[in-house]
Amino acid sequence: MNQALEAQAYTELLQLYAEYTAAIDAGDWDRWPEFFTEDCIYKLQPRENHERGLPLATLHFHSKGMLQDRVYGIRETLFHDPYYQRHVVSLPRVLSVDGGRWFLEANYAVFRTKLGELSTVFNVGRYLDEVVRVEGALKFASRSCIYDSEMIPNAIIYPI
Amino acid sequence: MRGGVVFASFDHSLESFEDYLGPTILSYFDRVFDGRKLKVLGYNRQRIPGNWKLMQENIKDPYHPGLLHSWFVTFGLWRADSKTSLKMDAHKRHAAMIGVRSVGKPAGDVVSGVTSYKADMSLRDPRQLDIVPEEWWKGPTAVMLTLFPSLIIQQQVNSLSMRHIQPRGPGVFDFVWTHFAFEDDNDEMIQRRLLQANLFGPSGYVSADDGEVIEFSQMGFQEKPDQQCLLEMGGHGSEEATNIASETLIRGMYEYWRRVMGV
Repeated sequence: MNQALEAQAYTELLQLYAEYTAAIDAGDWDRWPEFFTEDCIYKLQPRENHERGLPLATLHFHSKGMLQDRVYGIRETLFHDPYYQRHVVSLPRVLSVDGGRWFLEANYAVFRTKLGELSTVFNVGRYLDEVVRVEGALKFASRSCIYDSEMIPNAIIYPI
Repeated sequence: MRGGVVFASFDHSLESFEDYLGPTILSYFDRVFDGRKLKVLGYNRQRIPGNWKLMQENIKDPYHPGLLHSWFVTFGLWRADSKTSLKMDAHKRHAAMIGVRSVGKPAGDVVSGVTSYKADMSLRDPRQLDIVPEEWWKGPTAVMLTLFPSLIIQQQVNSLSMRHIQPRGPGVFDFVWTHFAFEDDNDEMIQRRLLQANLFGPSGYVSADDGEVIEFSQMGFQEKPDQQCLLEMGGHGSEEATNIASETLIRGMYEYWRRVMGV
């Protein structure tokens, strides 16, 4: 791949990351599953499980349908104290490219703000991503949020 | 050590583990830990700003799922015609909530008025509720064991976990989940247990809201420490029960707690 093409592809990746972050920080839950392929993986996993090779995740979804089910849960069934979340995400680091599949890593920090309360550090970790092109658009085939902050402040309701 | 589970105490005068649990609760412990080798699937940790006893209450309270866990209700996992029995040891310090899930089309009066039950509601990806009965269940589809003071053993359909309550002061505790499987499970069963784990833990469909409600309750208590609020459901007794509209397990635990604490 020549340099100009690489730069163009990387800019597109940045757009995917920026749009994803904007959607979940805005609480635009309907958009969230649309960033993924149909048979995607979404995983929210404490670092200790990841590093010890233990399969349990805090959330583990195996399809876009499961993400849509989660959206239904957030909206209709999960009783919770609502909060704002604000993601700060680093530039993605390209780990490898293999036949149109990008393997990437990016750091993230999520701040939580409840109405009338101070903002607090909510969840910190890194994304391990696999991105593919589907009908012209870049989508996450897999997004794992591996978090350092293993002690969760009560509950994580919204997607990271 | 019993059935692959290790318990320890600094108190050398403590009775044996078997005596501490008593025969009824021990039988439900042995139902899960029957000697098969266990396999740890992983951990979840959450810090809940509430008194530690509220979590014991939560798992001794069989009627809140219908009010709080509308996910259970919406997808038909919890119904008013679910068969429940509530059991305790002789001291009433431990408890077992034993449930048999109702399957099949409910009778009209069971779901009428339950606004969150939707007969035509289904998951887009039903693999999250791919429940496969196991022989060792011997009937009950869910048994929640609360061992005084700090351990909860969960079998909810195919999902198994031990939840440790670790108090960090009167108003906050850490809640540590260890999910496990059995070494002779096939890969499909392991995957099933892992997927059903989405229901539980700090983000779970029927657990995240427990932590949230405990936080709200604690905020309520702390607001006016010199005031009291009393709700009595079904009187004062603490006998075992065969229906879910009962608070007897909770009252049983507090009877024991007050004896131990001398309050």
